[in-house]
This record gives sequence, structure tokens and C-alpha cells, in this order.
Amino acid sequence: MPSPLFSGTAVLALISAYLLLLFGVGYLGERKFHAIRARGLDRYIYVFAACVYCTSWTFYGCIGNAAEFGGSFLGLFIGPSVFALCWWFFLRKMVRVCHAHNITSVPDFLSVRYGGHAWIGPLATLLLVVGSVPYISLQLRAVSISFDLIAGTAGGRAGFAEPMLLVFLFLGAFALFFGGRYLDFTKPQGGLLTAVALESVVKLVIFIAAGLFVCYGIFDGMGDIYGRILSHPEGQKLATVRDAPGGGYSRYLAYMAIATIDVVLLPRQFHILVVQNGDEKHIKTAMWMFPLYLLAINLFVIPIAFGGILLGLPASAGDKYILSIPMLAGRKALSLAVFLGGFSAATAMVMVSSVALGKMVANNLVIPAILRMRKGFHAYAYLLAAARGSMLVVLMLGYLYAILMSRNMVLMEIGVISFVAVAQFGPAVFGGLYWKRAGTRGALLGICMGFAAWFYTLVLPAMVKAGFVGGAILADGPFGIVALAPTRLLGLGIADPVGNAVFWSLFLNCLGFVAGSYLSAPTREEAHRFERIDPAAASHPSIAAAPPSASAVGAHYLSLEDVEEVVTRYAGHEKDREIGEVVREIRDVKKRGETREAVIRQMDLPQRLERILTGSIGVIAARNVLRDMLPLSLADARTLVESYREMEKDLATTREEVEHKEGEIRARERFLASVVRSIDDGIVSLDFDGRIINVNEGACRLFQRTEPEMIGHDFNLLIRDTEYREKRRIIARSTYRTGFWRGEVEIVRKDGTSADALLSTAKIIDERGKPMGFVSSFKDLTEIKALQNRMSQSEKLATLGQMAAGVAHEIRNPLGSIKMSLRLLRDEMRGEEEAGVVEHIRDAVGSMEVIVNELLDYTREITLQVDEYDVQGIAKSAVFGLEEDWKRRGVEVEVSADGGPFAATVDGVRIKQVITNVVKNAVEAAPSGEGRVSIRVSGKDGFVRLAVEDNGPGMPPGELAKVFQPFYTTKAQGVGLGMPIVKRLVELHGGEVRVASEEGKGTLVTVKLPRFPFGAGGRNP
Amino acid sequence: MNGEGLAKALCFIFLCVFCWPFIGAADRAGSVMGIPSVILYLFLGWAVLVAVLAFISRKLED
Repeated sequence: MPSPLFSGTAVLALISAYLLLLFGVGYLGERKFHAIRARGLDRYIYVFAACVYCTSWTFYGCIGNAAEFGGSFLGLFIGPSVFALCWWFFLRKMVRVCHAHNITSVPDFLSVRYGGHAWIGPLATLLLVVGSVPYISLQLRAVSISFDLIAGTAGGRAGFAEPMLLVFLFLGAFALFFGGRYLDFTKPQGGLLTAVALESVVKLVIFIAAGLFVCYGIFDGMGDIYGRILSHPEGQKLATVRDAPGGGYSRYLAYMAIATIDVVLLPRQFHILVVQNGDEKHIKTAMWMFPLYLLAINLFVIPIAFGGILLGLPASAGDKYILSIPMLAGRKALSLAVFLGGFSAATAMVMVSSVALGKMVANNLVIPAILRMRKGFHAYAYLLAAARGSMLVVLMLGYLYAILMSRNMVLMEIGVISFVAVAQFGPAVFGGLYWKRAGTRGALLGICMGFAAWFYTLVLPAMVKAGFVGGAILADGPFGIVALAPTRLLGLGIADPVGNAVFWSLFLNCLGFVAGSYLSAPTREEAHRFERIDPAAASHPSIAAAPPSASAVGAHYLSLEDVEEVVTRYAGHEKDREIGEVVREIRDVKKRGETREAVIRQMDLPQRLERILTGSIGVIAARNVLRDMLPLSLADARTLVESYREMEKDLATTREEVEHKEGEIRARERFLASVVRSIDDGIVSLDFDGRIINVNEGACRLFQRTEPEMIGHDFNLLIRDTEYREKRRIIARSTYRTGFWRGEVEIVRKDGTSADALLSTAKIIDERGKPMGFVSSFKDLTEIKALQNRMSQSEKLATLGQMAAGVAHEIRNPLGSIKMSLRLLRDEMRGEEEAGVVEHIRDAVGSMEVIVNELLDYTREITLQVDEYDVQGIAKSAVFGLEEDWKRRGVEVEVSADGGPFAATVDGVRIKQVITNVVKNAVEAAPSGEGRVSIRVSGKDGFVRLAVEDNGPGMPPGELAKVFQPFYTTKAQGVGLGMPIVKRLVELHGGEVRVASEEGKGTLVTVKLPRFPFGAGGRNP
Repeated sequence: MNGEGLAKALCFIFLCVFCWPFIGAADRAGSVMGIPSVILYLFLGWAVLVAVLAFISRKLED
């Protein structure tokens, strides 16, 4: 090992100067922190302060570890780097929860989350102190070791010159001045943060400088160092993780696991990362800067370790390599700088840890104890002194541990003990943050089982090493049971003692946590506590009701002024603004006369006061103080406020729902009313006495009455009373019994006329099934009945037509024979008289034949033989055919046309028959001697129009209406089929025929035929 | 995938990268560019992780 390069006095002077510089920086940081924050530099101070994670354990211990066990120590830094990916949601949530409740430490968090047992906070504090004091001692030891190395021990230092003592005293003063400045720990501690951040920068710069010196000042770079170390078989083992003497992957993974938890839960880390987080956005910067710092500071750890080995330094003294190598090279300045770097790493950790642990002890042990012993003890100055005293006590414990306990241990061993201890809070904290079911018993069981395993597997072997316990227990196990040997518990094959300890402690911890949480049903208080942590969580259905608190007994109400005064006494004037705001808010609400809101605010007061006081005196003391001050316990007040809020919310929801439903019902009513109104049938609702309650517009139309003329009157008003009196009773009885009746009735209108209607009656039933009355629907059957009559008439005529056609068919053949016989007879007759008789008979037979043919034409199916014809020509031909007739009657017939020719695709024979029939009627109607019949043909819009007009007597309207009715005739001869045949033939051509007649003036028959009813080429339909 | 989901996925991926059995694949005797393979693997992976962290911290929404 190298010889000392400096005298002890010189080094102590340097230390003192450095500490004073640090004090000055802290002082400036405290004063100028607002300005730093205004420039946005506080985020970098936050990140560098968080790098207090790298202590002298990193500076010295990791090199020693690398020299002995290879690269497994990297897990301590890679684990937190990977976990940093989750910081934005995990760390941010933790920050939010802690800021919301003024939580300042892990025990405070456990008290807030698992407050069922008042001693969970004190227990956690004790365990954390037990776990962390070795770590503080480690820092002091590192200072001592490095001091001894650089200045030597031969000088026989006096007690006061002991560097550990000097550091202890100085850091005590620093902690009191910057850390214990205020009782409220949530205030930004600018001085502490700035000083710690500066130390992080100092140690990083010096470490990298030392690494560069070793790599490039002593050796020819990293490649040279690695090349040389790999040339030795032992060196090859160190250059792997798998075959490293330290247990390979088990230690590496164990380091990863505990570091992932500890990077947030170590008291100093929790204090910097969570409590002193001034802005959530700083977490984003820390997410990448912090791992970058870890990467940078670890870059030269292995090269320095391997360099020391290559220089022949003993691996067991690896902790000192970083200082020894520059000293061996005679580099005084660098050696002094390295010493200062290590010193810086140690003091930063001790400063923050002593402050964080001291406050933790004060809040969870000392202040609650003081307040319990002296109720009503309201002295801010004493409480602040208690907090500062606690910090000194923690520092003192670390110093004593360093002197008495850790002499025989290397730095890494001490650090691991602390790390594994703090990791035991991981399941309870992480689970409490995210797992609703996590309960107080589970947390306590898990922590206790974890710490028991930690003690047995890690502390006990350390005690064996320190000589406090015999070594047999390690080799043979307790009572000779090898399976219970602490470092090889149950022989699971975890060769590394650290891996063994981490596995068993965390496994049993998690097991106890989960089992304890599941085996005990969470109380309502615990559920409330989780909802306070995670407000989005819904209440647990299986939560048992908490017993009523007895704390209200003997309690008295305090006025707002009293509350303000007492809280100020505890929290000092640090909280003047916050408590003032709370009280002013309630007063304002009262002034505005919002009594209900004022009551809620006042009931909410304990929670708000708890939050304010927790930052200063811790959650336990805050609850004790408030329990004495307020008539309700915190839990009861919280429950009341939450219940009231929920009730308000429920009522608001119910109101909204009712309004919504009412709106729906109104809309439905409007819809139904609209439907009823729009129904054409008459709807009438009746009560059980048969009185009309309501009618629709259809009923008003049907009965020709207004609403008031019907409502309130008896149902008899609407149906024929005398005839249907019995029927009405049947309707009512049947509807009441079966719920329904349907049948025909005769209704009575206002003017006394009656009409047939279909009545449907149904019983109206309310939501409870009770009958309320009847509703009747009247459907007017007048049109239906008329239609039925017409159909009946048509059926009769059709039957008659068929019968007539059959008769005509049978008659036509004998008529043909008669006609033939008459012709023969006439030819043989010689006498004029006989010939005239025969001729007369022959005419009569001819008339009969016409009738028969008409009958057959009307009844049989007609097939049109269409072709293109000139309609005017057809008309002339028809008139010519009737010439003998109209000349005999002395009627003048004239055919004229507007232009022409008027070609149309028609059946020429049939259209000639149409014109013949119409003209023949006109000739017969025209007066003999002076009769005139005009036939006019015209064409327009694809139609040919044929108008036949006579100057006959015309027809009365009644006769005109029956002109197309079969078998209707006013003439002595004929069967009344001429015009029906005309209508049928015209319609077969797609045309129409109209008759207009005026008595005394004559008749006009108009036939309108489409020119191309079957398309341009004409086609048989 | 949003920033938070990506961060969770990457956390899982890097956890795998730095744990057995992935690390075992790199943990062999010998060196790459004069540096032991496992040490090079860990530091390279770590550097990539820092770069990813810098990238993802900008992607995360407030």
C-alpha cells in the first residue's frame, strides 16, 4: 500500500475548508433558491441532488466489490436505470400522494395508508433507523479509511482531530442549520439541495478524472487493462458475471431487485425525489439524467478495480484503489482531489440521511411521545428542538456504529445490509399505492417477516464475522440443522449470501403481505385510506363497518379562532398562511349565509388540519393533536364528510334522473296524444259508470259533435238507446269480465241520423292492475257497407249476365235456322201480303239476333285485332252502314274532321261497332224529320277524339248515371247493352268514353282513343 | 401506443435485456474490441437505455 502523502493537519485543514465552502454554498442556495427556481435551474439541482444515491459506497465500495467479485455490482445501478422508465407514472403518483398529505417519509406514508395501527409508523421508523445507521457509519468509515490512507495514522491523532468526529460535528451543524431550519419538512430546502447537488458534481468529475488517469496515465487505455486482466485465469472470472466469485447472476439480480426498490425508498432518496420535488416535470428530466449520471460514474469502476489488481494491490483492499493508485504514482494533487471526491460523496449522504432520518424519528417517535406525555403541550420551539435533536441522535448513532461495529467489515457489506433492510418496505409501499386490498395486517406481517429474514440471513452472518456470534451457526446451522444455515437457507442452491438474503427476505415479505391482506377483511377506514391515496378507486363492497369511535367522549368544540391559535402553536408561523386560508374560507362561506356548505367545510376541517400539521409534526402527532381538539375523530369526520358528499351526489343524480324520466313521460304522453288525435276512428274513453271522459277528433267527426257536447254525458248518447240498451249492458259486462268486446253497433249523430259502426272496447288498467274504465274505438262502416252492397249487386249482375249469355248462345242457332227458313218461304210466296208478313217476321228475328249478339259480345272474352286505321274513315263507314235507318227516320247525319287524316292503331271492326252503337243511339234519340247528328273527329296530344252530338231530348241526371249500366234501357226495343259494350271496347283500347247530356238540348258522347295504345307497331293485347 | 404504454413496454424489454437468460448469451469468455463481452453488452445496453429514456421523457404527456 502507498505511503501517506500529506500530514493529518493539512488534510484536516483541507476538509475544514471544503466543509466551509459547502456551508457557504448551502447558505447561498438557501437564500437564492427562488432565483434559481425562477431560472428553471432547480430541475438540475433536483436531479444532481438525487444523485446522492452514489455515496462513498459507490466511490470506494463498488471498486472493492469489482476487484473481488467482478461486475455483479452493476445491478445496483442498472436496476434503477431500467426502473426509471416507470418513474413518470410511479414516482409522479408517489409525489402527488405525498404532497397531497404532506407526507415526509416512508413511515409517514405507511401511517397514512395503513393507519389502522398507530404503531406502524414508529415500527417502520425503528426498522429504517436500524437499517440505515450502518449506512451512515459506512460513510464515516469511508472518510476515516481514506483519511488514514492519505494522511496516515502514525501521527497519533488527538480525539478532536479524528476525521470522523470532525465530519460528525460539522455535518451535525449543517443538518441543523439547513435541514432543521423549519419544523415543516415540506418546504423547499434550497440550501441542502444545492450543497448536495454540488457534491454530486464534484464526486462525478473527480471520479472520471481518476478513472482517466488510471486508464491513460498508468495504463494504455481500457483495452490495455482488459487485455491484461483477461490474460489471467482469475482475471477472466472477474470479467464475467456468470463465473464471478461473488455468486454470479444471483448477486447481480439481487442487487438489481433491491436497488430498484431503494432508489426511491432509501430515506435520503425519498426525501430528495419525493418530498423535495418542486415540480412534477422535474421527474421527466430525472428520468434520463439520473441514469446517465449512474452510467458515467460507473464507467471507470471496473477499469480502476482491474488496474489496482494489475498493479499488485491486494483485492481485499479494493475499496482504496481509487486513492491508492494516484498515491502510488506520486500524484499528490490528484490524490487529494480523489480524497475530496470520496469525502464529498460521504458527506452528502450523511447530510441528507441524517436530516431525513432525524425528522422521521422526530415525527414518529419523539414528538408523539412528548405530546402523549404532556397533553396540551403547545410549544413550537420545543418541537423544533426535538426534531433537531433527533437528527443529531441519528448522526450520533452512525458515528458510534462506525467506531464500535464496522471495523471488521468492508464497505460493501455494510451497504448491502442497509440496502436489503430498506428494500423490506417495498411490498408495503408499492402494494399500498396500487393494491386496494392491501391491509394494515398484511403490511405489518410482511415487514416483520421480511426483517426477520433479513436479520437471520444477513445481519447474523455479519455478526459472526464481527466476532459477536460463533461461526458454527453458519457452517452447521442452528441446532446442527444444516438446512437452516443462514447463508444457505433450505439449500435452494443460491450460492451467494446476498442473493440468498434478498430472495428469502423479499419472498417472505411478499408472502406475509399478501397473506395478511387476504386473511383479514379490510375495514372501512382502510378502504377510505386507499381512496385517499387513489381517489379513482371505488368503495369495496365487502368492507366491514368500522366500530364507532370513542374519541368523541369528553371532547369539546373549538371556535375557529381557537383552532387557528392551537395549530399555529404546533406548526409555528410557518403555517400562518395555510391555516389562515382555511379559516378565512370557512368564514367567507358563513358570511355568505351558505350554512350547509359551512357545515361541510367545518366537518372537513380535521382532514385539512391533519394535512397542514403532518408536514410539521408528522402524521401520528397531528392525529393526536386533532383528536384532542375536535369533537369527532378524524375517521368519523372524514366518513361524515364523504357520506354527506355522496348523499348530495346521489340526490343530485336522483333529481336529474327524475327530471329526465319526467321529460321522457311528457314526451311519450305528447306522442300518444298525437297518435290518438291522428287516428281516423273515433276514440272515446269512459269511466265505470259509462260517462264519457275523453274523446278524440275522429269521434267528433263521426258523431258530428264537439268535445264539450260529449264529455260528461252517458255513453247512450252515442249509440241508439232504445234498440241497443240491452247490447250496451252486454258490452260493459263482457268488457269488464274479459277485458275486451268487439262488434257492430248503430251510432247516433247529432242530427239524429244513424250509421253502422264497428265498436272495439277494452278495459283500462292502472300500474297496479286495478281497472280504471273503458276505452272504445268506433270505426265508421258506412263506406264499407256501401261497398259491400255494390259488390253484391255486381255479383248478381255477373250471374245474370252469364245466364243471359248461355241463353243467347242457345237461341242464336235456332234463330239462324228460322231466318234461313223465312228466306226460303219468302222466295216461294207469291202474294204481296204473305210476303210482307214473312218480311216482318224476318225483321223481328233480325232484332232478336242483334240482341243475342250483343249479349254474347258483352259476356265473352274479346280479342282485339289491331292495325292502323283512319278513324274518320271508320266513322264514315259506320254512318254509311246506318244510312237506311237515319234516312228512314228523317235525321240528318254529318261527319266532319278538324284536319286529318287521324290514323290510330285500333281494331277497326270493334271501333266501327263502337261508332255504330253511339251513332245509332243518337239517331234514335234525335227527333224524326228534323233530327241532326253531327260526328266530329279531331286529334290532339296522341289521342283521337270522336264527338257524337244529337239534338234529341237529352237525359235526366238519374238516367245519365245509369247509361253504362248493363241491361238498363229506356227504349222499347233493346236489352241495354249498347253503351256498356261501347265502354268495354273503348277501355280495351286504353281510351275513355264520356256522356254529357242536358234535358231539352241533346246529348254529347265523346270517345277518346289513344293513337298508339300498343306501341308504334301495334300489337294484339 | 401512447407514451405511458410505450414506457411500460420498454421497461419490460430492458428488464429482459439486462436479466438472465439474455445476459447469459453475452456473458462468454473473450472480448470484443478488447473489452470483455459481458461488460461491453451491459454498458452498451445501458447507453441505449439512457437514449431511450431521453426520447421517451419528451414523449410523455403531462
